Amino acid sequence: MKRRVLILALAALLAVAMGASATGTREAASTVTTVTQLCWDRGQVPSAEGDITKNWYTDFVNQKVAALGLKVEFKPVQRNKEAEILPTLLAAGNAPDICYSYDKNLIVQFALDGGLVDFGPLMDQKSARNLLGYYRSEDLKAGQVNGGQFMFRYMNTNDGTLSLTWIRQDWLDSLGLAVPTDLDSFTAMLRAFKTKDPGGKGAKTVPWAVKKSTNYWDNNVMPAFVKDKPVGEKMAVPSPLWPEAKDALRYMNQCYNEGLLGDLILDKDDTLFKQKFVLGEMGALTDVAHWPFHSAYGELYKNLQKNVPQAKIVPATPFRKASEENWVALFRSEIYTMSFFSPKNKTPEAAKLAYMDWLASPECVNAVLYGVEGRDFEIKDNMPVKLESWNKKVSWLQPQYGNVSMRAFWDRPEIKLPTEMDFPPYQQLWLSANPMARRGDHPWARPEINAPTPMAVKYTAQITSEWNNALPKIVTAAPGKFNAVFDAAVAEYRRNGGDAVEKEARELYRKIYGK
Amino acid sequence: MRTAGRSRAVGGPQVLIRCLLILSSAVFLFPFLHTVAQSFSDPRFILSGSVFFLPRGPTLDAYRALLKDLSMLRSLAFTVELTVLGVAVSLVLSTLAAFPLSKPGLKGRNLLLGAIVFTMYFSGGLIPTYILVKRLGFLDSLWALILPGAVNTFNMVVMMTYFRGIPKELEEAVEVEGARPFLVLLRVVLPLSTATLATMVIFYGVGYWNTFFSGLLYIQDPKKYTLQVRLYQTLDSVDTMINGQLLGASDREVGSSAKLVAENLKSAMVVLTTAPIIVLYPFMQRYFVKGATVGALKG
Amino acid sequence: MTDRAARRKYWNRNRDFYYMLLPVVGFYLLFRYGPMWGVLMAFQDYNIFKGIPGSRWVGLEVFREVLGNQGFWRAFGNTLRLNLLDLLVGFPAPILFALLLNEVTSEGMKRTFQSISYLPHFVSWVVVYGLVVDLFGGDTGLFNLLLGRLGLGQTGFLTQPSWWLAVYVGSSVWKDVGWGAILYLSALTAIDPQLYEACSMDGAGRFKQTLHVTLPGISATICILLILRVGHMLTTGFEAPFLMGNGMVSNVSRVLAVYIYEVGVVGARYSYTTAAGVFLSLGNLILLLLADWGTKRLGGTGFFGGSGA
Repeated sequence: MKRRVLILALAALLAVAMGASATGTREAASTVTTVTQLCWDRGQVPSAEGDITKNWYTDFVNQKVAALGLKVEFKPVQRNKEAEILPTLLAAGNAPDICYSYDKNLIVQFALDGGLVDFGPLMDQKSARNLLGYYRSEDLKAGQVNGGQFMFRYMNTNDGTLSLTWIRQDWLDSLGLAVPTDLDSFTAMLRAFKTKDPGGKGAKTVPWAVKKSTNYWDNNVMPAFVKDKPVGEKMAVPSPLWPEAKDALRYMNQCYNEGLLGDLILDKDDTLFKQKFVLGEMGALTDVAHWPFHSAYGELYKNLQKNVPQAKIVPATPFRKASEENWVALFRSEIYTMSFFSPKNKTPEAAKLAYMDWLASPECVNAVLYGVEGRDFEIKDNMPVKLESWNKKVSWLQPQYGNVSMRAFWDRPEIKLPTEMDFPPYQQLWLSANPMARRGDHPWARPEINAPTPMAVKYTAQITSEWNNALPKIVTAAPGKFNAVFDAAVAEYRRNGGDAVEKEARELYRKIYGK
Repeated sequence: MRTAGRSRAVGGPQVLIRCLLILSSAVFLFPFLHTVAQSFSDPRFILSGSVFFLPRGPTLDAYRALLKDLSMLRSLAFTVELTVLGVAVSLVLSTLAAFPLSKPGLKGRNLLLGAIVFTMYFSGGLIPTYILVKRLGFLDSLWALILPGAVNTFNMVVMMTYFRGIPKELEEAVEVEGARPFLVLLRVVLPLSTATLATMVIFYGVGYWNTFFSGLLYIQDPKKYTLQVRLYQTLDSVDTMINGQLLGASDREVGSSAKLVAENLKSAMVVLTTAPIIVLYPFMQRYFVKGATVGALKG
Repeated sequence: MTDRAARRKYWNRNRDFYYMLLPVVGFYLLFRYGPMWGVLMAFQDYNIFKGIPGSRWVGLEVFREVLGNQGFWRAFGNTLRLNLLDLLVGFPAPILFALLLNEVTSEGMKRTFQSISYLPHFVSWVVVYGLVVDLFGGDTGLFNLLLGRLGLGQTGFLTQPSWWLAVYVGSSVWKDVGWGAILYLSALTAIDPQLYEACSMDGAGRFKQTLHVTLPGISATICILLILRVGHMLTTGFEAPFLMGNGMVSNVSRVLAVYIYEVGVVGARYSYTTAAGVFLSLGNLILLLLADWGTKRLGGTGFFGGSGA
């Protein structure tokens, strides 16, 4: 008898557990549709402003979209575990209506799995006025998978964070050298740094340093060895398989063995790298253009000048062909652009499109980048200038709420867009570096391939990671061993899927772009 | 408070032992002192690598920034609530499981224990658990952070082992007078188990205090971010390093974020998260000694 | 007495125990067995939008893909190597430390030493990595500076596999010896002091007392922990090997946790990660059972309470 009661109790418990009690009830909207948008909460909203779900910006958004019959709620998702959290939310049907991510491959996978909204059929001149006005045809094409418009993304053009080489101007001056513009003069400069020790740091001197060389050997060093223009089918091939890869790495290896390239490739969190720079021991470094200035890295140039008052840095691009146009940053292994997408769910697709369209409007884009005119910025000499409240109210918008565009648009034609008026007191230096780092238009980029790439999905993560592990061994190989180490690593890369990835990439390139 | 009858090393050997322990304490302590020193130092000196065990360019900036932040304090309060509630739930459940399972004569015990240990190895993973929590209506609540992991099998097994070790005679003495198992548990076993209970409070407590991933997954209300989640948001640059390693440089992302992440901020956070535990533990420690009354009862 | 009567008697005496177990059984049923259907992902080409019902079944194909990969087995070997080293060094360490602490005559000192000893447990691996670099990294690491002063050459502590292993295991031990000792210290308090009296009256010195009283006294704890440790031989954490590892030592530092993360988690390949997890869990479970059997054979207490003694 008692046992039966027990069993019944357990069964009841299970029944309750398995019983469907849906959560996340959305109030049945009568005339107003609620659309949810993803945001990345990085903890940057100042307490005085509210929090990520309610502040002046969320109020502003709701005020503006009310005219469209919409209400917007922001759902924070933590960015740093996005790869695990976002798919889980999607699988449970709990993801926001409008999402965005940097990981295009993931989104393509979602689209192929049939989980995303295809906005194509819904878009016309009326419903997608802003979207069609902002995105060019190649941007729209880049967001398509098998012809369906599943993503909205802009092609990454210039943003000043591309990389170049910073050199200690005071060292050059004391040696009477000019800023190197090609490989030979660069190498000669490095040798001079080593033997003549202009910084007075003795054995601690690091003539040239590349942090996390995994990212810069192909972006920066390899262009020096590429003789043909960077167009065509070969742009789709992964960089380790380029014939010039060996030349680039051999150069780095030779520099390393001569003591010209620093042993900092193992420095995971850049502590030693920053330390050597800030103590004035580094002669040249190849990294992103804003690295010495940005506060997120610790305002390193400022700190360098505190330790070594006479230190001065100058930008250079010694790896680019002197006679050709700007080939710096030949291609990036990941194009960091925000791709917006929408999972299929109960929210009406027309409402989602309406909101997405509003996101592409000048009203929204300008607000996210500059805030409210008069309060956060003003126009001076036809240039927008940030005011004091910009930091308090606007600086945390774009990194957390995303933006379809990194460039503001103004409906006043006489307004010139500034090229990053940041980093006082180094504005001029930064501005001079900017055009060098800028890539111009995207023909130099990796071609977009938005067809299904099963081989790439299957192998890329693993072979890239193994290649990244092999790189330090290649660069630091003993003089006689370089060939063996490099060849073995490339052979391994090919064997573990690199060949399949290359073949697929070439075939798809031909299919999409012709010969 | 010496335990009667136990002769410990004295004289020469005691000196040696103490020396060894002092040495090891230094090894344990210095890195922590280093972190504390960094938390009070000017970022410039940290970047130059010149901070060791004493702060340089002393500043309270990092702590001021952390403690002035309302959202940080809110996360602190929420995490305290989570920890207290969670430890209570986990302790009760674990004890209620460990005690019966420590009885060798209980029918079905091996089967049950096997089924429980099985779950240490096989689990459905994130998606099914998330869907379950969603269906039960706990999303975005404190309970989502407590219930799915309320019983840690490892901890429960340790408790069970401890209960097994309690001499049967002590329990039988009370059972003979007609006491039911509940009473035996409350009157005899628990008072003798303060050591293991204290251990469990610490283990579970630290676990709940450091709740991170479930906080990321189940919570979307900023008022309910746990401390670790909140800290990680500010430490984004560190994780950028971690992610950067896998996904390629996200320096471009940094370009768009104007937030200052001071080096001393990272250290200050480590200190803040650890401080409560360090403060609390000595209070728990005395319970380790209390358990030594086993012998007294026996006599 | 009759069968029925015997059962009635048993139930009357022991039903409290079953009532106590009720909420816990409910917990495991609900939160552990409830979601277990996720394991089926390992046998499908899992589509997160279609769920289990809508995804294609592929039998053992995913397992074939996981196990047919050389990288997987290399990571497997690395995991085993790290865990074995950790077992050899990291398992006895907390025991010895607890015994050492136990010898201190002053309670106050004992408590102080203990409090200090578990501080490293709370230092996150990111910070530990930073410290390791400060001490062992490149030519600016403290140790290499010292070696330089003494006229001995520089050593690549973090770039040579064998040294790296030593540094890795050393940091793991440093981090957890104090924390791990907590369990043993609480077990030590349960030892009946009269046993020590009896032993010392027989003329045994301190060391013999440790051998004959202390160790057997905590042997149950040691056995359980050992069995559980062996039952995790095929898995490691993620943070530690990931942060401490680097390209030069990737041949030993690339463990399964990192490998599976890179290949499976980053691309949201649930079928892959689930299949790998199932395989490894199976292996761990087998090891657990073997360890349990082995421990009982050698006279210790098994997991399920039996003993060969």
